[in-house]
Amino acid sequence: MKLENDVTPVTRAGLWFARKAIILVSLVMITITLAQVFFRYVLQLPIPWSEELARYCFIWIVFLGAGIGLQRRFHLGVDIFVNLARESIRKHIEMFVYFAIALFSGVIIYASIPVLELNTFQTSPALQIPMSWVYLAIPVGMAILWLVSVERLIRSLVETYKRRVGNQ
Amino acid sequence: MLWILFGTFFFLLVLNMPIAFALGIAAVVTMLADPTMPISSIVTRAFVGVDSFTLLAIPFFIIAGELMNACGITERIVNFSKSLVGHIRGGLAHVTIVSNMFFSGISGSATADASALGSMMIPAMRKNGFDADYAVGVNASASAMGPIIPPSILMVIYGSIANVSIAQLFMGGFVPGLLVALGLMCMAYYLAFRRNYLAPPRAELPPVWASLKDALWALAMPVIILGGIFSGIFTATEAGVVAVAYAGFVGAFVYKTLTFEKVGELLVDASVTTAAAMFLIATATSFAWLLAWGGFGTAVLEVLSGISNDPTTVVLLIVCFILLLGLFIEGIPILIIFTPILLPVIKSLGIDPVYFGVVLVMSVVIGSVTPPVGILTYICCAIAQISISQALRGLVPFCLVLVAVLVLVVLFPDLILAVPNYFAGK
Repeated sequence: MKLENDVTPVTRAGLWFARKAIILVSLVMITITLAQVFFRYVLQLPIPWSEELARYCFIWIVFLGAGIGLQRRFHLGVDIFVNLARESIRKHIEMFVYFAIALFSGVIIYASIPVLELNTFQTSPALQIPMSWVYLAIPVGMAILWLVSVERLIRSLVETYKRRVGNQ
Repeated sequence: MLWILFGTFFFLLVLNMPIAFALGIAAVVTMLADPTMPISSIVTRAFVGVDSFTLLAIPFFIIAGELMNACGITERIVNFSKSLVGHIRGGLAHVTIVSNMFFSGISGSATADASALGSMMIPAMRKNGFDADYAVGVNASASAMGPIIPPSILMVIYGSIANVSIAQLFMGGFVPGLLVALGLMCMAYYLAFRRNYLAPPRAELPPVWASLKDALWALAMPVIILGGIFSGIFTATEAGVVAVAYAGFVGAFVYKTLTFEKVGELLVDASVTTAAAMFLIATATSFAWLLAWGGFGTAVLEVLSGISNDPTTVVLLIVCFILLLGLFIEGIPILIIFTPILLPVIKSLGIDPVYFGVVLVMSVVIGSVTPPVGILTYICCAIAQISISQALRGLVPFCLVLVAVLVLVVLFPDLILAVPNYFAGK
């Protein structure tokens, strides 16, 4: 809910999905790893697929969380140089940064299509699930990143345009 | 090819592009420039970089730390520290340092320590007549203990890249962490003397036993984590999840402060923190691979072996380089990019990778304190509401202590290796 009130419905829906999915997947990850410890050390009866499932949950968490992280400005950069620039230049640089992030996430989504196709019939060693289900985390996470960055870009554009109109 | 990679990376860095994206975009641009490289390999590499059971320890330590924090343990730990060292000249400064030490054993990340303890200690120090620059210096440098004293997210990352036992790294951080605490306390005392800060008399402070009893549930957590790992019962990941269960139990049944809603919110927060670190690993994997492919590692090896073949000199050189880099770049990307490059150099000189790991983690952590770019100092300055240049006077002496301890452990490897060797039965 933090900082997420200022977004359009589409992005908000994306972030809502990411949050709910993260809670669910985190709980599965914690439970299954705990179960692994319990079964291995207490019952002496290791679960063969627990580690794999926990790892795949983790992958989903990482790529879903990356999108929310951009919204919450959690990804750090080096701001000392742009802070030297004038306000208007800084705004333009920020627009470029979000444009580049949107382009990057688009490229990664495009690049993950052949990877998904390749892994449709490839199954995981222990769980025997299609690997594409796990790889899917990357394009889904990138889609959320794309939404957030495009929205930031449009917002900055509109603000700059409004200010320019206001000045005339 | 290396020129495109570095050029794009630094160009984007100057524009305040988040480092994770600067690394990823630089890799994409480099791959697009060379038509023989399939762009989809960046996706598989990102996947492989994240797909590790060892790295799974990171979210667990973060979740456990956040759960403990939500229980209100910060206050209890600070109270206990007050009862121990509050009466020493410079009172609250020592309390901050000792609290950070205990906190380091619970959370794995320095930023969590800096914001949790900083938001409590900095206003308290200001109210008791300490200058803001001194308060920032103490808090920022003390939170640097977080990744040195186990558990440590940075050590988990180094260990997974270098294929070194996490348990050994954790043990190796023990003595250096205590030395940092001791060094910082000496500096805090000396400055308190120079600046004429006082401390309340022993009688006005909370009694030791009562506050220990109050903090016991929190203090037991590091014992469980470290006890489990050091005795070889658990892996770091398993210890992490046991810590989550323990913190959840304490929060739900002992302190009774956790609700379902709170836990949900907390899991999202922890995931975002985790993702910020792991997404860096995802993009840096491709970047590091391109570096290796372009022959950057061999070039570094040649330069270093051209200067010296003495292990200590080489390690000192590397430390200087990392500290310089740390002035501008945050810890995790440095660790991910340089560990694979430096490791062959280290091994060829017969330097112990556990020793090197602890040294590298310490250098990288000091980098996150030192301005102009240091996240720990940022956090503390934001809390104290002063600028970094205003904090400089209080910050520099404490940074010097951190560097001094680092040089000390570089020169005397036994300070790091004695504990892991003892447990390994060597």
